[in-house]
Amino acid sequence: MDEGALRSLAAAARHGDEASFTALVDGLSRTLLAMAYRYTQDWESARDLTQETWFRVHQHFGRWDPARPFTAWLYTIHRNGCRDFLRRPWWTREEALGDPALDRLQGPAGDDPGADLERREFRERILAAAADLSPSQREVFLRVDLEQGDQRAVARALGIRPGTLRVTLHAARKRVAAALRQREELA
Amino acid sequence: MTTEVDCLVFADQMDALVRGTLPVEGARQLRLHAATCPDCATQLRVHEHLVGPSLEALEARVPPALLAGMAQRVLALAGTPPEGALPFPPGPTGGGDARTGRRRVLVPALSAAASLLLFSTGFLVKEVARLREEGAALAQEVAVQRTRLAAQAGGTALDPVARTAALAGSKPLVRALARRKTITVEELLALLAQLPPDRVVVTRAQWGDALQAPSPLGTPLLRELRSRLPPGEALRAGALIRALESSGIGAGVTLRTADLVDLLS
Repeated sequence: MDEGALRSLAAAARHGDEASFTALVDGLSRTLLAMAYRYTQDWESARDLTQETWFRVHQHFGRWDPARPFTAWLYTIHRNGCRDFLRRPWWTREEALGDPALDRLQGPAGDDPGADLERREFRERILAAAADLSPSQREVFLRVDLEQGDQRAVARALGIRPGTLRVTLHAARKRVAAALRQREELA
Repeated sequence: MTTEVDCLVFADQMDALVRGTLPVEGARQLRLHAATCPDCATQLRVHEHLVGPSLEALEARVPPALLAGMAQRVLALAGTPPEGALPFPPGPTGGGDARTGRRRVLVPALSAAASLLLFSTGFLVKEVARLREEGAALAQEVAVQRTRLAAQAGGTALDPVARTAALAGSKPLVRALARRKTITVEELLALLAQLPPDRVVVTRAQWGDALQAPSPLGTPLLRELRSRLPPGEALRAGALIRALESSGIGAGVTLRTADLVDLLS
């Protein structure tokens, strides 16, 4: 769906049109799920985050400015929800037992629970280290390295030069690596 | 002539290295540098871990079951009209007085819409309740199957899935620990802080056994705890937290959860 069609649907949904809201959800949920999966590494949590995003959109539709692209507003809400997910203590991020078929789709090491667990723990250590970065370093690190964003596109979105983004990114990576090594040396 | 790789060059070229777009010799030089520089090696490890499929590739892998019914669930949860939602636009008007015409069409239209909304809301609420029941029953069935599989496979102490299944229904603290292979002292403290301070986490018998046998927890930690916690009593969450906090053990020290679970089970 192009942005024009999305904007029309969003404008109608903003008026309470449930059919338009449903069309938005059906058209964009796949992208939101994929974005959330980068944070959660499991599809069940990605689904929960996506549902929460749509719930927030539904409840606060009046805050969207129809003069601006709908997806920009939507992705900001979704990204904030995913960042909040990272801040939750790890033992509260329940891994739902759910459908066994989904477990096979968790990732390359889905058939090896031990490797899968190590991968997730390493990821949590990385994200814990990223939480200690400065706000600008954290934003760049998450958008480029975690979300796999294109550096030029991220620089444009953040309103900074590509060179500035590169310097910030290098500094963030260095700090994350130093924090990880410090933890590993203490172990 | 080869270019000497230093950390600045490595940082600049790491993306290309991980993407596989460097010439063979360039990639070799970078990996050689990483082999001798712990900082760059860790950066590379992190980056290789985070690099994954493109968003488009991930979108193609989304399980269809997750997409089904999402809008309906959200609408059922939302219930009330959204904040700032504008009113429905007025219905079509016929001839004559525009105001009367609008009223003649609008009132029945609103009544019909209200009836439809009530009916569909009632239907959706029932549907949500039915799906929740089915979900709970399914989760229970999967838990039973996993426990059965774990028992058949004779899951080892280090098989996390088998351990989780085997421990299903046991203490929440033990279940939480069983999901990890390692835990730092800082994380353990945060986990213990979730419990009431007087909650027994290690019984008197377990603590006595731990003090007698060679310690799986590691001598430094056990020495610290032994000097702060009396042998003849159960260990409660609050006392354990105080003992850990006043010990000389660093917050970043990593413990094996299998050893903690053995102590707590």
